[in-house]
Amino acid sequence: MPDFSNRLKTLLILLLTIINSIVFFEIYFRLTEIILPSFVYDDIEIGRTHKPNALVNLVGAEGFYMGKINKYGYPGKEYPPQKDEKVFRIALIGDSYVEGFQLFERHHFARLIENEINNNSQRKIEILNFGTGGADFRGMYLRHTKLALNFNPDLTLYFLKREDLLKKDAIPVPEPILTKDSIFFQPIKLNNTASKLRETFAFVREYSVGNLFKEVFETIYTGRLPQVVFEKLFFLVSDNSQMVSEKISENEDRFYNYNLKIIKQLAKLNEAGYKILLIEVEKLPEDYISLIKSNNIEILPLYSELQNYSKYELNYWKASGKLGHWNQKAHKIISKYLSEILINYNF
Amino acid sequence: MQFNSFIFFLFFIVATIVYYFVSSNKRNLALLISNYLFYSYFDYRFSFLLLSLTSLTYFIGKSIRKSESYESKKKIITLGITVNILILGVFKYLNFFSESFVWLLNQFGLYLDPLTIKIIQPLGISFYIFQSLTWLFDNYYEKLDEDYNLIEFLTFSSFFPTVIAGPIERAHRLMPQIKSNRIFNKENLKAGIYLIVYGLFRKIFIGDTIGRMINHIFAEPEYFTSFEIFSAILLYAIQIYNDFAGYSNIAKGVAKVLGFDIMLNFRQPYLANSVTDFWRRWHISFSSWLRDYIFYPLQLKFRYYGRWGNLIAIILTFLICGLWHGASLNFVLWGFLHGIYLSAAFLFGNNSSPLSNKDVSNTNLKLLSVIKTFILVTVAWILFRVENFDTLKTLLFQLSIFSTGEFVERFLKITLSYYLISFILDYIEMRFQTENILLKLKPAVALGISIVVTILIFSYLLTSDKAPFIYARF
Repeated sequence: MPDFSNRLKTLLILLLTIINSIVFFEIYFRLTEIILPSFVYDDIEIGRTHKPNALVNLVGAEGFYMGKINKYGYPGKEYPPQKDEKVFRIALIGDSYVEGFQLFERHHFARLIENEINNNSQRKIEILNFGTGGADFRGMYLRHTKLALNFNPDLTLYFLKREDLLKKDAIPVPEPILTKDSIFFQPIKLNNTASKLRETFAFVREYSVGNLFKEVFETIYTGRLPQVVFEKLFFLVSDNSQMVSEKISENEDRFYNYNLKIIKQLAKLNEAGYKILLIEVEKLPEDYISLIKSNNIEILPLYSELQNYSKYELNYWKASGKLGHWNQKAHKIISKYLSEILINYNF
Repeated sequence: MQFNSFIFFLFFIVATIVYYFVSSNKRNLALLISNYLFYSYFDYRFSFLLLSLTSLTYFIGKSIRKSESYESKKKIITLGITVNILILGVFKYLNFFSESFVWLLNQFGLYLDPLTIKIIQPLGISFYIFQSLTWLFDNYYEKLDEDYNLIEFLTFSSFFPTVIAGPIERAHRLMPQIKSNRIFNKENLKAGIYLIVYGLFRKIFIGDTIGRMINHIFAEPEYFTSFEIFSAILLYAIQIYNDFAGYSNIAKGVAKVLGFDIMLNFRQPYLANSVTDFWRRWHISFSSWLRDYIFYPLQLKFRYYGRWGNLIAIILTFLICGLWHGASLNFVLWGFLHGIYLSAAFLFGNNSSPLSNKDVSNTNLKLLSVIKTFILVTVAWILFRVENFDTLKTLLFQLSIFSTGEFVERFLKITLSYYLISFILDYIEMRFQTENILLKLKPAVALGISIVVTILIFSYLLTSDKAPFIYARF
């Protein structure tokens, strides 16, 4: 009996230590911001969405971002839905390039443009950033119509790359349904394993430790585990670039119809006074260009402006020596380019 | 392979099983093969240099041992040191000296193109050469009682727990252990694993996570405010300590599992009450190496110059210390600055100067001395961390404008949290007089902590880029 009670005592001490250690790490991770609770959640109508009031600290090979999702659910400077009539409000829609979680907000082109125009002209503008990492054209459209429009923007800037015209996310996003004249989105279906798991374990992302385990789960689920574990010795990995490019061209046709409808919907918004400007981050396919133009939506070729500055290595991150998203120099150049256009824009 | 990688742990498990599975007379051979497999994983070409240089050093050491006259011993050891330093010079310093020489000529109006050759620095070259040199010194000073064969020496000079970044072992300490019969011991296994877990915590959850953030600040300080840069400087002191102390703990733990006791490398350096005391606690295997094999001989050489002789010996030792870290002017200046600190301490002796060595008994004064020492060391770390003088200029300029930015509270919270955890760990180590603090806890508590730390560390390693050990590049 004494032996049994000793073992029980040891087991209890072990369990208590494990629980206490997890609590310690939860506090430690939050204080040091090594890992914070997730700043996104899966909204059944929009898909991946920023969580209001969440702290964000992202450091990696590409850069360093420290900031907060404001109480209205978009990152950075906080503007309420109601706006002053004298103010010209601009909404930014895009993916991680626009979200800009690689640099501090003070270096983001949104803030630079705002400062430039508000300080050097009679005009007063406000820029709200609705960029979301991983969003494709469909996700951008949802974010625009379901979220950004509530903030009464006078102008919406869509930043588009070729890959945005495809479905690029593994995370659940509302599925589009085509009708004769329009497009609708079905709220996220929870009928597949991945979605169900995400929904069931959504609560773990509310914790730093849980968020770490969620990342581990995704590493395993997406099949990256052997590569991470075996590093150089994982020589069985085959070159699948051809497969990917085949998939792109195959998907392009599939998604063309969806994108066509989205562009038509945007054209309607444009006509209704919610002005829209499409900005080519990369050169878009010609058929899309003509489609967009034929729907009376303006396009700005940002990529050609950036090409003029290619010697500045606008995607180069000095700390890691790696290429990635736009760096601070790129944001400065973009702000200069867009400020000039916006100053002369017919407000 | 790095200690903070899955491939290393797989290798370590297999190597340990093989090591204990083979008969005791084959154990060193098994270890030698593991050493070379480990080293070749980085770049197999460097293994040839390691093998040839250490083999040559072995035979030179044997010749010293066999020589009977002092004169011939001196000649042979000079040859051995020259060969090793020449190799180190070619692989690590050739471009630096060539560029510095041309720069100097340019100052006198003579314009030449520097001879720069694309040389890749073999990993851990400074460590294994310094470790191999102790074989020469220990034979010269007759510190080795027994005779050692080539396999034993090669095992010593390529010992995988220490070959990349130390601790720099002494031949007279490690070689008798290599010669001895090591059998599997459960206590060693437990102590080793606890040290590895503790080291990984220091390395990954303190060193690496700080590094991921501040690397961006040091790379492009022009984008950060004075407060953010100031925080980065403070955090770098904690990063470099935990990165290297963590590495040393892992190395000690790995060696322990294999049945070896390797020397202590850190003894709560930021609790030092003078810069001299700091050097007794920081990178002990290297600082004591410098003391024994550079400073004392220099002191002896300059003994006729009195106090000035000592000062010259201190400054020269620390210039070498700086240069050992890297072929770059910032390391030389870092070493020089520490040389100045120690020279001043030597000159001021026991008076009340901030640079003095005075050992105080009053707790408040002791705390002040610890803070003063920490500030001096942290200021020197700036020179150590910056990559070039343009960056240093920008960094100092940004610091001088006293800007705060919008994240003062968050930077403060992060900095204080890292300081708190690092100092608490140091305090516990000091209190228990051991670096293996898990061994001092109740077994169930130590096990519970180890399980959680291991799961979280492996989870973190799976989901983030692993950072190299800072000292592995030296």
